[in-house]
Amino acid sequence: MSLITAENISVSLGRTPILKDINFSVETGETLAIVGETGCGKSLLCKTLLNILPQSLSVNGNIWFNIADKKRINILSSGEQILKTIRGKEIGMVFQDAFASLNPVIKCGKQISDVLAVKSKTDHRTKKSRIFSLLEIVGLADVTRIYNLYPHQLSGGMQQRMALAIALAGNPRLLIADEPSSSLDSIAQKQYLDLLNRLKHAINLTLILVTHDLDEAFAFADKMLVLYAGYTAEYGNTVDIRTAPAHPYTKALLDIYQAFRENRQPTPLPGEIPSLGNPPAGCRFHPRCYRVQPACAEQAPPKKDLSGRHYTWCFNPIE
Amino acid sequence: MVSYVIKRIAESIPTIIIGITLTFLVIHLSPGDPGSRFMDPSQPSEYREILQNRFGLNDALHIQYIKWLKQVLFHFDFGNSFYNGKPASGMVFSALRPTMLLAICSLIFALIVGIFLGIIAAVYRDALPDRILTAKMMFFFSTPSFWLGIMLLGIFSIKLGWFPASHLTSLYHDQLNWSGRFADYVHHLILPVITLGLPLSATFYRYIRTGMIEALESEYILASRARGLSVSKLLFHYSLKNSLIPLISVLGITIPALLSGALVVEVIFSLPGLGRTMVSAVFSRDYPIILAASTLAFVTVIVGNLLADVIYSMVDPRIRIKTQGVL
Repeated sequence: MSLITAENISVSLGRTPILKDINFSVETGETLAIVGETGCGKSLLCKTLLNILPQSLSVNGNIWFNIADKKRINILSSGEQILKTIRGKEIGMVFQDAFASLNPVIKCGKQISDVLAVKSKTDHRTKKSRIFSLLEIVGLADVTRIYNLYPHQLSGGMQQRMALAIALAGNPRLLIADEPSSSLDSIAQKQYLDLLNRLKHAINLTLILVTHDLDEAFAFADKMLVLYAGYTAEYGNTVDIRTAPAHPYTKALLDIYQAFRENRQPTPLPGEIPSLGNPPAGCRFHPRCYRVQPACAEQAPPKKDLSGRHYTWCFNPIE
Repeated sequence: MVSYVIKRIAESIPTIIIGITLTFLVIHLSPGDPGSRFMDPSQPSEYREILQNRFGLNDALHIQYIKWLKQVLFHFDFGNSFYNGKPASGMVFSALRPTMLLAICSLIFALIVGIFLGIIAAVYRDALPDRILTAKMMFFFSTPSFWLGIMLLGIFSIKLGWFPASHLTSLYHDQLNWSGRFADYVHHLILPVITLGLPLSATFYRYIRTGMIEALESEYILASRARGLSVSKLLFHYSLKNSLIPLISVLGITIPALLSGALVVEVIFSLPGLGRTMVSAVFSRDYPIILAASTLAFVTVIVGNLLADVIYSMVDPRIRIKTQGVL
């Protein structure tokens, strides 16, 4: 049974759909990479998975999470009491902007300790030693000093590791990492991703990694979900998508990625990402697509099963 | 932190001297003189000279000023009241106690009401409770305390007779035991505290509401929700601490308003405080009392501001580091 399964997730603001019919599932121990350009709804999807979206947004669909003893619950229809047992304890999340996600007026140690207190009531000494070991696990040195520091006293890399330590404090089985390394320099980025990979194997963590860096996705992910303007373009096994992209958008992304690797000048996609308030009818990618057909402008493309583990949403996929 | 406080105190001494110098000048240059207030118009003018000499008012203004300043700075002596001959500093200090009692009680009342209602309004943002509270608080925000005081006095004291209309204690106060005296104080203070505290709570309410809304929409609160923290923890610990920061910064500028408000409220409710002492001193041209009272008001305002700054740096760790760096 999959650890988490998303069925037809749609998020809309009034009548404007922001995310539409997103489907995926992640098995225990797997890594799913969600890729796409800025503004395609990746972060929104992550927040939907924890049901922490503002009330102004309406959410439809089901998110099934497999809790212990083979029982599963629907995160989107569960009450706050049940969600409290899921958030932080079963699913941890690292936000895109680590500094903004840390409370500026509460010491780092206390912020971890608050999460530990939710998980179980333990005495102060046990809690403190658990915090120190968490800080060490995420690769922070001088843990006793860091325990008493405020977030603004840490460097960008340390803040990112602190956010990870807090996300891991509740011993979650699933970790959602929303572009965790985007604000770091390339060396810190590499170190951080290595750490994530090591942790994943050490504590058998299931990972949903949001990224716009295909290198990251190819290096870590077993599966990929390619989003474009709130719609799924392609979903499937990483190797399949890398070797045989079916959606023209995925193909364009891969071409640019390949050009950078070979030090060539990449050919940018014509046009711009559509605004979510006034998206084009039919397939949202059709105004920029070189394989466009008359049907593309009329209705949303259907799901096409390519190999049982590789799907695309396109009228005219690349065979 | 200690060096910061010492530096701020040292910096405030010239401010106090400038303030009391201005007060000295304004009082002495304003028309009317204390001597003539003691005189019957039919008495010969020599009597007036004698009185002026006794009060030291016949010297040139700058001589009077230097004499007075020396006395104040080196002996902490503000002279004696023209009326009853008692030391001005002693009279003013004893009048300060009821004023401080009123001001501190009103501040606590305003903080409790403002913070509590501000949190409720932020949680129910744009819904009915928020709209009702914001409308009510705007009303109190724009209400002058003298009007509110007279209304409360008229309704709860004169019409309903629930609370006393004047004074801080009852006539039989000294015969009461400890708890009885406390209850007597509370009974007398309720109306003055509401009069002074309610408009102030409206100011605090606005700051807390805005601060809480900003905090509740922030990424760190969303992240804390994602960590599974309880609603009470999110509201009263994670959001409130952040939204207190702007409130503390207004606290410093609220203290002068609180003191000047206290003067009005004391006059309305006939409380034996600094305000009533000052007003009667102004009417009777009792210079030593006016100067001692205004010096005390200057000091109170400056100490209040300093306290607000210190609390501010205690709540916001980001400021603390900056002050350490600068000093």
